[in-house]
Amino acid sequence: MARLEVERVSKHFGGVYALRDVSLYCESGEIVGLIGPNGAGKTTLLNVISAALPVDEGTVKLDGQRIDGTGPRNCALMGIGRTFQNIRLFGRLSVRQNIDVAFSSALTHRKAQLKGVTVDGLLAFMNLTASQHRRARELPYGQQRRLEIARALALAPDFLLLDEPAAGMNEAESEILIGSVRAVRDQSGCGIIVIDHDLRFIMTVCERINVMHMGGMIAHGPPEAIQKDPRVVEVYIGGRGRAQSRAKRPPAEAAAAIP
Amino acid sequence: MMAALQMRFGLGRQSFVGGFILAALVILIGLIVMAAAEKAQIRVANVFFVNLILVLGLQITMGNSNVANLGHITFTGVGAYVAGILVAPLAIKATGIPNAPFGLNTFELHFIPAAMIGVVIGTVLAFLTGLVLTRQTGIAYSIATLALLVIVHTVFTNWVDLTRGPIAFYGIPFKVNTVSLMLIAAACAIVARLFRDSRWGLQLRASGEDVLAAEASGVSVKRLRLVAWTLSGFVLSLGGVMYAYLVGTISPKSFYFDAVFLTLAMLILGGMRSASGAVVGAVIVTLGTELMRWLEGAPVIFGAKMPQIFGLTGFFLGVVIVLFMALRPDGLVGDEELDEMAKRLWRQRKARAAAGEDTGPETSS
Repeated sequence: MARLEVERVSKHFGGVYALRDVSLYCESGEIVGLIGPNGAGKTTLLNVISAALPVDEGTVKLDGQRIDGTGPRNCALMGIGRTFQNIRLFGRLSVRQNIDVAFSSALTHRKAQLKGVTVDGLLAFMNLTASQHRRARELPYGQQRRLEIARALALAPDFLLLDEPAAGMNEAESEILIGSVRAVRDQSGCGIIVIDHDLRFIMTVCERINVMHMGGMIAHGPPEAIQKDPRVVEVYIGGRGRAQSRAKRPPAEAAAAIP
Repeated sequence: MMAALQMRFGLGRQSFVGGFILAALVILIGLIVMAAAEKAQIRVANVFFVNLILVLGLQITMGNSNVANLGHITFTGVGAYVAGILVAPLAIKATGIPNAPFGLNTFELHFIPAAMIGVVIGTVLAFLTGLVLTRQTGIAYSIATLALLVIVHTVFTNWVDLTRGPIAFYGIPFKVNTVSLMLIAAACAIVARLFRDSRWGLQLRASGEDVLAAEASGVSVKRLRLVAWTLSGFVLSLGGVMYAYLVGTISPKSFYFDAVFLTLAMLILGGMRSASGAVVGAVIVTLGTELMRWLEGAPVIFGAKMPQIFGLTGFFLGVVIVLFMALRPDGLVGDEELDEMAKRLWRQRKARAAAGEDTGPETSS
C-alpha cells in the first residue's frame, strides 16, 4: 500500500501564485479527480508532484519520503508515471519503441515492481498491438492518448498522473477511456490522479474529487457531495444567484454545460 | 545468445543484419574502386573512407541526441597529432620538433601502439570535455562544442614545440591503404548502427524527440549524451589517426572549419538519424565535391571552355546544408535505416496485396 501526499504546497511564478497552500493525497487503488476552471493550477500541481517543477513551500511525499524537487527522472523511477496535457510522445519512434523507452528504464531501476508487466502486454492492454510498428506521430489522436498511458504504465508506477486524458475525445471514446482507467487500477493496483474538464468523465470514474480555483483547493469529497457543494457550483456557474436559479437542474449537468 | 543480447542491450536480429549489410555496402564500394579505378580515384576513395569514419562518429552523437555538434573534429585532430608525433621517425623529429616536450623527440613508436595511444587520448579527452558539455542544453551546447574546436585549434597552432604550429607536421609514415581503411569504416558503420539501436541509443533518440517526456520515462538524458559523446570521440579520434597515416602530413587547418562543414554537409544530406544516412551522405557529397573540383579546373564541356571558378566546392557544401535544412531536414534517408525502410515497404506491400485479395472477388462479381 503506497501513499502519495501533497502537503501545503505553494508555488509562484514571479508575483503570481499558481498554487497556494494546496494539500492532496492519493492511496494505492484509488482514482482521485482534480477539477477546476482554466488557470486554477491543476497542471502546475501535477508538474510539482512529478517533480518537473520545484515547490516554493510545502512538501510532496511518497510513502513518507520527500520527492519534490528531485527532478522528473528520479520521480519516474520512484514510481510516478504521468501523461501530458498536450500529448508528448516520441513522434519518430514506433509505438512499440515509445513503450520500450520507459520499459528499459524500469528494467534497470524498477525490476522488483515490474512483475508481470511486458511491452506486449501493455500493447494488448491499451489495444495498440495492431499499430505497434507505426510511428507514434502517425497515430490517430485517441490512440496517441492511449499510447501515452501505456508508456507511463511501462514504469510499473505506484501512482499514475493523467493530465486531461479525455480532452478532444467524443462520447464513445471517453466511454472506452473510463473502462481503460478502471482496468488500469484494477490490474496494477496503482493510485491514479486524473485532471479533466469533462465532468461526466470525472464524476463517473473518480471515487474522490478535489476542486481547485485560483491556485487554492476549495473542495474535496466524493462525487455526489462535490456536485452539491455550493462553492463548486459557484466557481463553475459564476455567482450565487444564478446558481440558485438553476437549482432544479442537477448541478453536474449544469456545470458540464459550461464549455 | 540473441535472446541475451536482446535482454541486455535491446539489440535484436535486425540490428545486426542491418549493420552487416551496411558494412558490406561500404566494403563493396572499396572493392569496386580497387578493381576499376585509377590512382587518382583511389586517392579520392581513401579520403572518402576517412571522412566516412568521421561522419559516422558525428552521427553517433548528433544523430541520436538531435543537438547540433560543431566541435567533433577536435578529437580527430587530437588523434592525428598524438599518433603522428609518436610514430614519426627520430630523424624527422630532430629537424621538425627538436624542442619537443616530454622527451617526445627521443623515441619513436610502432604504428599500432601509437594509434592506440592516439585513440585513447582522444576518447579520454572526449569523456572529460563531455562532463562539462553535457551540462549544457540546446544552443548553448552547440556553441560550447564550437568553443572546444577553437580552443584545441589554438593549442595546435601555438604549441610550436609540440606540433610545429601552423606549419605542417610532416614525415608520418604511410601505414594505411584502401583495404584497411574500408574495413575500419565498415566496422565503424556497425558500431554506429548498434549504438543507435541499443537501449541507450533508443533512449537518447527519445530524448531528442522530447526531453521532458524522456525524463518522465526515467531516461537519464545527461548520462546518455555523455556516453554518446565519448563513443563518438573514440570513432572520431580513430578517424584522425587514419587520416594521419593516410596523408603523412597534418596541419592545424586540416582539423578546422573546412572539415567540420564537410562532414556536417555529408551527415545532413544523407540523414543524421541513421548510420545508413551517414554512409549515403558521405558517398554523394564525395561525388559532388569531386564534380565541383573538376568544374573548378576550367574543363572543356561539349567543346565549350568553361571559366575557372574558385571556391565552387565550398559553395556547393554551403548550398547542400542550406537546401537540406530548409527542404528536407531529415536528409535523403530520413529517420529509418535502409533495411528498416525496406522492411516497412515490404510490410505495406503485403498488407496492400492482402487487402487487394479481399476486395478482388467483390469487384469482379
